[in-house]
Amino acid sequence: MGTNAPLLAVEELSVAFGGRGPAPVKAVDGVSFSLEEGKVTGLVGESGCGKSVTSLALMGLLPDRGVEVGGRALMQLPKGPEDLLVLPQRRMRDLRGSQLAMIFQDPLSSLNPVVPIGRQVTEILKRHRGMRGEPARKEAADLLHRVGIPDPTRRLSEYPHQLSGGMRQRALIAMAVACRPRLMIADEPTTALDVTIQAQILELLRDLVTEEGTAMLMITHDLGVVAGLCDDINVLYAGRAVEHAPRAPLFTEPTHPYTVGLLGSIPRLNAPRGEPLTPVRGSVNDDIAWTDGCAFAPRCDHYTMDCLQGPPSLVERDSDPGHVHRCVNPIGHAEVVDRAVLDSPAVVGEEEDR
Amino acid sequence: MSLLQIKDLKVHFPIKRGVLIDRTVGHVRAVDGVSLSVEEGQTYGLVGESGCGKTTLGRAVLRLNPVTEGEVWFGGRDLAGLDAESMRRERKNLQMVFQDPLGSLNPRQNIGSILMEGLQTHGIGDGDDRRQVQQDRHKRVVEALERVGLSDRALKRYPHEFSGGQRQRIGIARALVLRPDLIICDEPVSALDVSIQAQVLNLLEELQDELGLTYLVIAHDLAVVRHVSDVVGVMYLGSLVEEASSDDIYATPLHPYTRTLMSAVPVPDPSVEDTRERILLAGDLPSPADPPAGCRFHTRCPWRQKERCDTERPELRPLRDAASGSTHRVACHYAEEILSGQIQPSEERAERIVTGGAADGGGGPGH
Amino acid sequence: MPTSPSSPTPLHKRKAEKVDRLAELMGSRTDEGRASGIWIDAFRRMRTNPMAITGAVIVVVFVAVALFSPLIAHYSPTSQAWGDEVFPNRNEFVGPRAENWLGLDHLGRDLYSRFIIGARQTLLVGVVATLVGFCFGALLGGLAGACAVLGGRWGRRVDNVIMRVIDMMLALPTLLLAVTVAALVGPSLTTVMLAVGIAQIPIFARLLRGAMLAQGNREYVLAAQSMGVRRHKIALTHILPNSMGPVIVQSTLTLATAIIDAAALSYLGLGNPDASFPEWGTMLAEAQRFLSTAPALAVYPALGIIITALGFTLLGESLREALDPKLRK
Repeated sequence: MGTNAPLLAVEELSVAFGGRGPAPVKAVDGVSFSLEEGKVTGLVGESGCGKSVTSLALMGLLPDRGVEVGGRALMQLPKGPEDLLVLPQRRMRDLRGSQLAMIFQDPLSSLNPVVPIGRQVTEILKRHRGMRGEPARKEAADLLHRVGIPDPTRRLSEYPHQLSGGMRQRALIAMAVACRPRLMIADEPTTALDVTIQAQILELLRDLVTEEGTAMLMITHDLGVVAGLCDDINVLYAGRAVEHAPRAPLFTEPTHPYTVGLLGSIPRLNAPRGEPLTPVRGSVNDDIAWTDGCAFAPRCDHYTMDCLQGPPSLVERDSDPGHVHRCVNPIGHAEVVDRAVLDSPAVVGEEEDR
Repeated sequence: MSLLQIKDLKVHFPIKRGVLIDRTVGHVRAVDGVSLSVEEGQTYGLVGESGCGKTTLGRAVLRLNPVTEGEVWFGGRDLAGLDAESMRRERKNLQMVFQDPLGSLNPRQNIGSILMEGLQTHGIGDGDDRRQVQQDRHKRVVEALERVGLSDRALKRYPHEFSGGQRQRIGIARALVLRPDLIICDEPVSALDVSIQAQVLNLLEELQDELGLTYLVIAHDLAVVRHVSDVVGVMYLGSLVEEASSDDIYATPLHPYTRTLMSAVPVPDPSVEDTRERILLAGDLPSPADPPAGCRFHTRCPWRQKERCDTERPELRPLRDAASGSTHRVACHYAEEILSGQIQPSEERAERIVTGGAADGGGGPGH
Repeated sequence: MPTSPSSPTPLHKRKAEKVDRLAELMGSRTDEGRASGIWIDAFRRMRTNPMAITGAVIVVVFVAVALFSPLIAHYSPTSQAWGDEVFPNRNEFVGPRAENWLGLDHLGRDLYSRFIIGARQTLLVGVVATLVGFCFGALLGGLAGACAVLGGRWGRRVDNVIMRVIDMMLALPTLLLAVTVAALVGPSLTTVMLAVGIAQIPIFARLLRGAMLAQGNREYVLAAQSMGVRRHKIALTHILPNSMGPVIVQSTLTLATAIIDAAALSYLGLGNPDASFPEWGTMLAEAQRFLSTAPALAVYPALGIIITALGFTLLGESLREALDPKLRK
């Protein structure tokens, strides 16, 4: 690479659903981040924050009808940079597998149940690398071996249901890396797995990034996974990035109240016993529209009148460039935090009367 | 005297095959000889990965699964020996909170009717005539709802109108309304979003403080279990491999499986993640239909020794030379040697062992 | 109303304003039309489905015609007022004209009136046959399902016996079963309804039992059990109501098959013995003799059967789709 441009630069990505309805629902609204080779970028958020839609949009896997995708996703391809969001379907199909690969949460439904694992791998090798016959089979066995599947030659002729959950996820990773993609999107790759298996898979992904220099987008709800794996983290809330920072500052000095709340919600193995959790109150149902103000305000302990004056914009922290938050009253900055805020109209969504 | 005492409980499910006549060709040993006791007012946390039999154990206590063998002592009676009708009546004293908040609520019942059902079934409610009884029941239902942070306006609404966290609150209210002595929580938060999980965990703790409840919490997440429990039991393939107080199990995990489990739980703190030891197990969980002989864990154990491990099944025992009164129990022949460092994990038996520190480049990717 | 935080208003007032503003914004959120039930939800989805709308329009028109047929029909369906204008043996038929919109049949009866009155017969047969199938099928299936869910040795036995009988019925082709019943009882309108209805029993029974078994594994059933609710009460108040969805969908689909089956039975001469009384199947059977000379006589009842059956099928299929939990968000 002659330039310093990141492998993939996503700018102001937005996805809106429901063209026919009264108002389109914005699942993702102005999300920007970049992916670099040999680095892992994390998208963290709870269900409904738009993290999975983001990945589908980048892979070109959203349905054509009723979806409006905006923004740009510039990827450095061998023939120069191109915008993934406007590439025709046929080009995208070629890129998927060869340049881009995706790992999904549920390995069983991402594998074809009636085709042996081996054939599913060799098919990819055939399509993208023109390999066939014995060399393809050998390469497939090699791949399975690389992702830590024991006895790979025997596994080639087995069907997905014969493998355990962890082995299936490994097979899926083998298929994803079959063509040495330069960019890998992992959408909750370990959520369906047990902890000990999760540790194995995360280690495998970590190796992939360090040894092959693959750029990875890690999508997860688990801040623990993020802490161990990601270099750069975006926290998403209600379709927008609310905080973006390298991993050390994000965990040591989170500034957005939502990130702080998330971190306070997780029981930690290493915490002294009896340390209470400090969760975010309410649920996403309490959100207000981003156009009216900060969507998180109803659940926030620190909101002020300024939070309700139109959409907050992303601000860079003065002391720490590269640490960005979408908050007008970030934690650590607001000395005069009006602590005695509103007695939670939103605690359980219907507690106004109390 | 413990509130709940389980003695050598076994739950085996027959595997049936056959075209016309079902033949039993084997048994899935979902729970295979577990003994534990839950003290009144405390929380016992049962942790283990899928397929370890923790859910089956919880259900067997309520006799929602048939008990193959063993005793379940609760309030001076052996639940495993009760006839169906007495067991049904006994259930008002033991309640359950389920994993899937939506799936465990009947979609066609409104919240009032869901909460009222238990009271009606057991004929609970004070009053001289029907109307008074009905009023008393209504009072109890509203009380339970308010305890979990909902108001009586929920009564007429249906489960799908609530968010995940609210549904789980309703599930807890349903358990509370009968004023049970013991609540079995089967994965109470694993279907919820992170921020909601913490709300529900805090609620469970508040309720315990206010009402003096006893919990048996079953979960796969060691951090969650450790957070809520006084005593933690670790299950592997149908049996208990280690039991200790919540602090002890974190400070000095003795069983190799507990150690691997502990090392696999991600901690949301980069500095911890970068420096700690990670032991990666090789292979998969063996089938509970054909568990390995000897120690159940020996097929994957990085500390495995040549003798005893594959022939002799270790009992759950207190550590030798332990201080009297120690409640730390472990099912490993070599626990003392492992603790003292005499036996080191073998790299060959594990998939990989990553020791802490940046010396071996394990200090996170991209550096 | 917007106040900058630095303005010298007292703190409590600012706080109150802040709370007001938040409450206002939260109240102004466009609520995504909270669904209030599976059926209402399904209805909402069906409203935007062209397939469902087509089906519904056909069904509504058909039912309206059938209900008000005496008002819509111009003449008596049996009156042979124009008998001297039609000579089938000389191939002289009367086509559509101002007096008789669809022309005359081979006996000089007004085809339009017969078609309209025939719709009523068809609907009657369809509805009664479906009701018979639904009632007995749901009864048997519900019993078998309840027994299977309740478990125990006796439960499994009762379930087994019922299901084997149902399987035997299912093994016979619907029409053959219907013909057998009709042949045993003798031709009449009641026979057709009974025969077609009985032939539908196994489908309903299997469907309900299957749905009940599936519901029996749900967690809310376990929850009810863990509360100590009696098992038979669980089967009746929890499992059964939640299993009715597919059965109700099936009944709209069955209406379509019932109409076709009834027409087929009438066509085979097992229907109403009074041949002068119109029914689409009977009309089709009569028109068959003149198929080469006056095809229009067969076309109208045939089209009637096809379109009505299509209407019910479309409605049923889209209802099933709308209720399918996999397709729901």
